[in-house]
Amino acid sequence: MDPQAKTGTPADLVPAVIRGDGEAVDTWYRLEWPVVYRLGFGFLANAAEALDLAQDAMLHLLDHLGDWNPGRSYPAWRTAVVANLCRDRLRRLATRQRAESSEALLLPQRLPAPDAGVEAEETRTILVESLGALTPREREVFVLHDLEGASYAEVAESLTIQQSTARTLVTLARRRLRKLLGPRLTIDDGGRHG
Amino acid sequence: MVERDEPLDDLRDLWNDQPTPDVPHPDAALDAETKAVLDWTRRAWNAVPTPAIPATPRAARRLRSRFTPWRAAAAALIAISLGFALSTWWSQAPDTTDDGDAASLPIERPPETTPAPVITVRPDGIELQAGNIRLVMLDPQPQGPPQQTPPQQTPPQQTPPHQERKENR
Repeated sequence: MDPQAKTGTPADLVPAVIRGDGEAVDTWYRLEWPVVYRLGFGFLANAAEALDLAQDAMLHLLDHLGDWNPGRSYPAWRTAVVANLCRDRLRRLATRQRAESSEALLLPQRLPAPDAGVEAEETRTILVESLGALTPREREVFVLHDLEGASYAEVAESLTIQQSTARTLVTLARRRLRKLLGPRLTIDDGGRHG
Repeated sequence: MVERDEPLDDLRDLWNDQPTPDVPHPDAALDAETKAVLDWTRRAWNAVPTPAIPATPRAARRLRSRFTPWRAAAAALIAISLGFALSTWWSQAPDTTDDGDAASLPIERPPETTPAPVITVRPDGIELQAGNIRLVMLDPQPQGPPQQTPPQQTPPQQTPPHQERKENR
């Protein structure tokens, strides 16, 4: 493997991965796996689906690394690929999702502290339910900007939208989440955060 | 050209003079509740565990399958070599076929070629016996010079070189 690529970013590994360098593929996979999983988890708002999608997405990325134009941001390209796969999956799951969303959102009256180990599972469930309450577009933008820390410019490039659209979608997502989670936080965590 | 309508123009000017506020930036001024919600969501997001890479990820399986042409060629080569070796061994191995179906079939044995024992040697031929069948093989009449034979004697018959006569005992 190229020694320079050994310590680089996933983008640096791409040429070696395309050549079929086994060590490069392994390193690239280990670097990309958590990122792709988290994107899938956020975009789909479903842990099981995210795990399945992450494997498909990694395979898809591996097969299409040659399509990446080095003149373009690699993270933006990767995010665009994952987002497209998520949209496809959401379309396929539309019927099931509608059935699930028709049920009342059952959130506890009191939100647990996110870093409490005992309540980690409950926290994840609430997070999934909350993200699921957003529209797919709102979710994509919210996850990338507010949770993954991407700038509006990066979000716009990844999702091929205007920056103003990204800002609007973030605002809508925040408003929806505040409506959903706000009362529970003010009841229990309001003193800590407010 | 549109005629000027003084009252409407005044209203239009007033409308155009209205200050347009800037599009509020989402991060500009978040209220306390939204900040709390965002903070909780971010902490929950960062607490989400990333599952380990599956033991046999699909990508690894795909990578292995990329070498399928080579593997197929190798398999074909092995199969051909094995077939050649098997055919060589088969041709050299003794015929020890022990098949149930084959055993049930009547075995066609070649006809016995053991010469039948000669019983008698006669002046005009020999007499053989095979089992209960006696076979007399006669020599044809000698082709000599014409003899003085009585006129009633029939001319020599056109017989095959060996006339076989079977006699059952």
